[in-house]
Amino acid sequence: MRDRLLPWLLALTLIDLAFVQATGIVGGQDLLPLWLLAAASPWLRRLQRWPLCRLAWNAGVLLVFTLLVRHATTTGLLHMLEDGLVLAVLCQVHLLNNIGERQRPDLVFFNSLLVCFVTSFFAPDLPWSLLFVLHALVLAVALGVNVLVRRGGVLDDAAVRRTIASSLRHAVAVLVATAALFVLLPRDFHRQGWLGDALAAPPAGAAGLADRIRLDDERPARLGVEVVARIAAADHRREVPSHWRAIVFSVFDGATWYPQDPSDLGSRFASDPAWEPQRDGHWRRPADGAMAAFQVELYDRRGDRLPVPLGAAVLRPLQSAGTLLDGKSTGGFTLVQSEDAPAGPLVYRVDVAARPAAVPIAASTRRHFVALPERSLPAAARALAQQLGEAADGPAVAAATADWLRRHRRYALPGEPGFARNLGEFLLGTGAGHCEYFATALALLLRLQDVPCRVVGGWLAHEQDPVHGGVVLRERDAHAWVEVLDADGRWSTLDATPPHDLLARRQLDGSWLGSAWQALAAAWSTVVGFDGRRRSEWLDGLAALPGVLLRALRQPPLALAAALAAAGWFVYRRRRRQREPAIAAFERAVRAAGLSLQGGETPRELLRRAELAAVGPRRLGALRQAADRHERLRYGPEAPDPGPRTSPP
Amino acid sequence: MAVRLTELGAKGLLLLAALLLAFLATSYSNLFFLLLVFCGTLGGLGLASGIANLRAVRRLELQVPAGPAGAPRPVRLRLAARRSVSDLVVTLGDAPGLTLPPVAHAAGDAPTTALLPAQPRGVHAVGVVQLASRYPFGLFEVRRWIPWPGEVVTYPEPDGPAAPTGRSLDQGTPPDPVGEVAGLRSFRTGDRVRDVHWRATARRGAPIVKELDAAPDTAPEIVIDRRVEAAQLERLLAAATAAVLAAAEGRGAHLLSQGFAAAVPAGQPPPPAVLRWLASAAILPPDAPPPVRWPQDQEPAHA
Amino acid sequence: MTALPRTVRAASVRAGLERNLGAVVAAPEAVIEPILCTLVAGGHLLLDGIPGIGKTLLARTIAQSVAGEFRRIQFTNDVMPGDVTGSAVWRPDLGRFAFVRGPLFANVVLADEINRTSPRTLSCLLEAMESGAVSVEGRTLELGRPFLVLATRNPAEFAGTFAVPEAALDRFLVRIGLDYPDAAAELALYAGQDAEARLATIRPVVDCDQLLALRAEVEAVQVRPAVAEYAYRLVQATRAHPELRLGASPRAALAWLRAAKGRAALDGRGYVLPDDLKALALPALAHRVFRRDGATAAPLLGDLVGATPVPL
Repeated sequence: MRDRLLPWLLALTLIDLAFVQATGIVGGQDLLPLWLLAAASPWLRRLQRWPLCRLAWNAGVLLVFTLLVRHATTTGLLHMLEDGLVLAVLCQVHLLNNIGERQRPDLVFFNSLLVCFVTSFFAPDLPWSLLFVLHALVLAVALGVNVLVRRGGVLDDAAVRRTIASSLRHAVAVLVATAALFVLLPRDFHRQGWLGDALAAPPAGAAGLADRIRLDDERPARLGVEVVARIAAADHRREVPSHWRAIVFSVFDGATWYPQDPSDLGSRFASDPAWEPQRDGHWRRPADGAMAAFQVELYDRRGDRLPVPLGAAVLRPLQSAGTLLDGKSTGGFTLVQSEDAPAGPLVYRVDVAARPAAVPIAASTRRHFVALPERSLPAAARALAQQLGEAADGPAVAAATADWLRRHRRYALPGEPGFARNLGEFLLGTGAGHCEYFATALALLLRLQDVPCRVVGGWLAHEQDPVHGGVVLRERDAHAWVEVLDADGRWSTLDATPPHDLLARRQLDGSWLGSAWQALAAAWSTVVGFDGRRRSEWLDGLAALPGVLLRALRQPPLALAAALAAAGWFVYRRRRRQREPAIAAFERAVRAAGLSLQGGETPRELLRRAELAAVGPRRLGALRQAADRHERLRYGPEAPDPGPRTSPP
Repeated sequence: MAVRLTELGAKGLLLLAALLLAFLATSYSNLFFLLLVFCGTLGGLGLASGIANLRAVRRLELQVPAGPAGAPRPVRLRLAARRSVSDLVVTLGDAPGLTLPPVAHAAGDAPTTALLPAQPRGVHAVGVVQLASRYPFGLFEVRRWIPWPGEVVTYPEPDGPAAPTGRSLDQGTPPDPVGEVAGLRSFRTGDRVRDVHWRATARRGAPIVKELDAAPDTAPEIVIDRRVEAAQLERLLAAATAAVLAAAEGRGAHLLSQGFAAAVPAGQPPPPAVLRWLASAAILPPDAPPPVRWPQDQEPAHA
Repeated sequence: MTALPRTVRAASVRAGLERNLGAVVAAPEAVIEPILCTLVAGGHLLLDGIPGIGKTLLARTIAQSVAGEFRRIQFTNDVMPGDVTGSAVWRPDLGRFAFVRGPLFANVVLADEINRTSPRTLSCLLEAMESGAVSVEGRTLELGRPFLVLATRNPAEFAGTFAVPEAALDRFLVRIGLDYPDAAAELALYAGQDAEARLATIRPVVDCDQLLALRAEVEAVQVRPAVAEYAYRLVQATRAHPELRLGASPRAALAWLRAAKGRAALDGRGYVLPDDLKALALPALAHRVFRRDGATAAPLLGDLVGATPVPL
């Protein structure tokens, strides 16, 4: 009896393990034993009959439990959560192996739900969402089968199959209802909660733009999916530039990068071509090469900076009421918004040249871009710079250094296993780092080789927007890279972050699978980033839906198609209602025999015709069987009524 | 119709309450909200679906044959439902001992047979039948009561040399014909029920009887004097039951006791009235009159 | 009567009847089957055909196959109702009127050439066929049980005949049109024994009680909704057909289904198949639907049967 339920409990446990694995906060090697133990549970459970095995198993669980608790109490809060999750899945595996007369599966269901809840905080990405859907389906089936199993009684395969089918239908209905309620239910999206930060998980360092770069921030990064901007090329054939700069850092004190400040350089436009405001409200600066125009809708104005590419030459605000733009000495723009600035995105058009114009660079300015923190520079940096300097020379040194870093250093996000505790570890190669580490390392190594450069913070445009076209910038696309000053006073972009590692977190290749994945991820991001504005958009859309449909139906082709579809649906339903299994089986057998029922022909007549025709014996046998069954069920006598006592409901 | 939380449902409700508390305590998170909605929908839809499951039952037909004490007996259950009904537990009345084993899925109008657990001797009057279901997730138990004015008749466990043990009466093998079958004709008042040709009757819709050559009626007489101790009565009844069952398969018998007299015709199941009397018979005080024998020339009416 | 299974008994009756009919007249299966169905389903039979093709012989064979009282009425235009039902005659020996039963008081009545008699006499016959009883001088007298009328009609002769009204035709469960036998059968007829001699060898295969029991069983044959729907479809088709003046009535459909039940019972089935209905559509319906041009509706009905889809 219970054997009917156990496969579903095993599936739940495996999904829980996948949930934890997908968070990435527990190393794969740490979870491997649990995977193996869960997979082996059908055999392990049999061993539980022997007291010695049971004792050994319980002792093992207790030991692991003690180790985890000890580990959790001796390390930071982050590890406590990690350990908690491992503990939860360990608990699942333990329960799975002990389901019996006394151990009911209730705890497995609830524990599984808890794992689902907790992991949603750590990795609210697409894999989590897919696992959640799978989890919902399996949970519903497990609950349905549990009802059957607990009741006792006769359990045959057909009963279990019907229960599974009905549970799956229910699960789909629950998921659909959940989605509808998620959109419809009103709530406060900015609610802080009673206990606020006290109970909350450690604040995750949100990937995004900051006004300084701190390398000692070890908080796990939360890769937010909130849309920052959407960019579309005026000419769809043009590719959107990948690096959209917003803030420039030029001063490093060994742990933190500070923004480039005009006061350090003595002149507001000492390093970049100056932006000139034009009469009609647009801005212009010199640039070289062919121009391409892009329209940007900026949704997130918190950064106070406009993302623009390095080669930006013309900027036309299109929808910027209540916003004051200021061309900065870094080649970018800051925005100042008035109190009464209207809601909605800031829209502007930017014309981008192949590269920025050259600027005569003063020696003092040049010195500013090769300045190093004397005291707190990691020793490894100098050694590495020397080693790299010997390998390359002149203008090639920058590219060679970036290439070396790209190939020899690993990418990781804070909180992930192997993440470097400081820049020194990253430079030595004992720890992995994220884009800021790569940019800092590259900038330091270049400056050590006397190559003027600066670190730039901005957005990496890579995600095609399947809905709106163009590309979409999300919070998690925040990025840091390096700009190198050429000898002729022209800046160029140099990104040392391994693109594969970087984008693996954010996108797949361009295959159809990758596109589908991206589309799904975009859809899921609307769920995770759901807010009041989007909710009202959805509700407005729903409210307008009847009108839209009515308008669409006024178009004759659409109306005709809808009428045909409705008629087809009606006919299909009607046929389906009339189609009894015996009829369907008979028709299948007739088709299989290569025959068709002619007008006015009865099944018996068709059978006689089949006997005369050259129908193979196997097919004929099947047809005869189907015809017999059909006759029995459709024309044959009804079961005799036993004449029971009848009670009205 | 009534709904109650099952143990699993109660635990789930507690978990949901705890999660809700945690949700309110912490700052808003979309996924937390989504999961809470999911849990709530799982419960809500489970409840609605469970209610709809039992609501689909339009009519319940039950055939509870008289059965011997101490042995389970098959009960015929026929459900007229708008669609298939899942996880159905039928209880006759309110006694848990009269609960039939669960039916995983009962398709509309398809008769099923379930075994009623062994009962003690007696006649248990049933006013309502309770239907209970934990479909689909086992979080709630929905119950519904359907009037069923009937009774469960449990006659004594047959105890005697001729007792056909452990077999319900409606499973009896067809008796050997007594006399020669001479033909078929329409039923006339006074015809014996055992002579009805059931197959022809079912086909024609009107009773048809077999015309048999007369067979000698040498049925024995079973007399029970109930002025005894309770334990002794039980033994007497057990022996009488064995004798009645044997007589029904053999040459028939007459059963006689204080205030009761009935004939057990040969070759057909014992009459319900006889079984009911065997199930309900109670002791009498010592000063009660003795059982009265009926006159030799007066045949008791067929029960 | 022994309690043999119905299938065997029906089958043995069928075999016996077929044997008897085969021994006397050379009738094809398409003729014999409706006759058998009528016999077991409890209806009356009308045989149409030109003189000399064995209508009467066929009817006599059937009558002799049933071990019951057999009477024959040769209809002419001077046959009066009293000749059929019987009448009260003065019995001098008794000194009072006594009722003398007419030829209708039998189990099997052969009504030869019914279109030769007056409408009055015919209506008397029809009443007897309908109710199984006759009313004479204010008294209703039960006819035999079973009561089977085998009528013959000669549609080719018009002199001295009366048209049989539609309502009269409706009383016959089945109408069978007899045609010239095929060459082989006719040659065998020439070479064979004298028909009367052959008829003398016929032994009854079923008695009245058996026939009644068989009819009770036929009543119990089931018609499932899909089969009833087929009957309805075809009946509807006759009503909608532009060339038909009068489509089949519900009574016609019921008669058709009754005959089909008889066929099912003869086949040993407890349920009717669309095949039963198809086989009996022409014998049971052709005399109940009427073409605008007055011609026989059988070919048109055949087309409809071939075209009406059978519900699966």
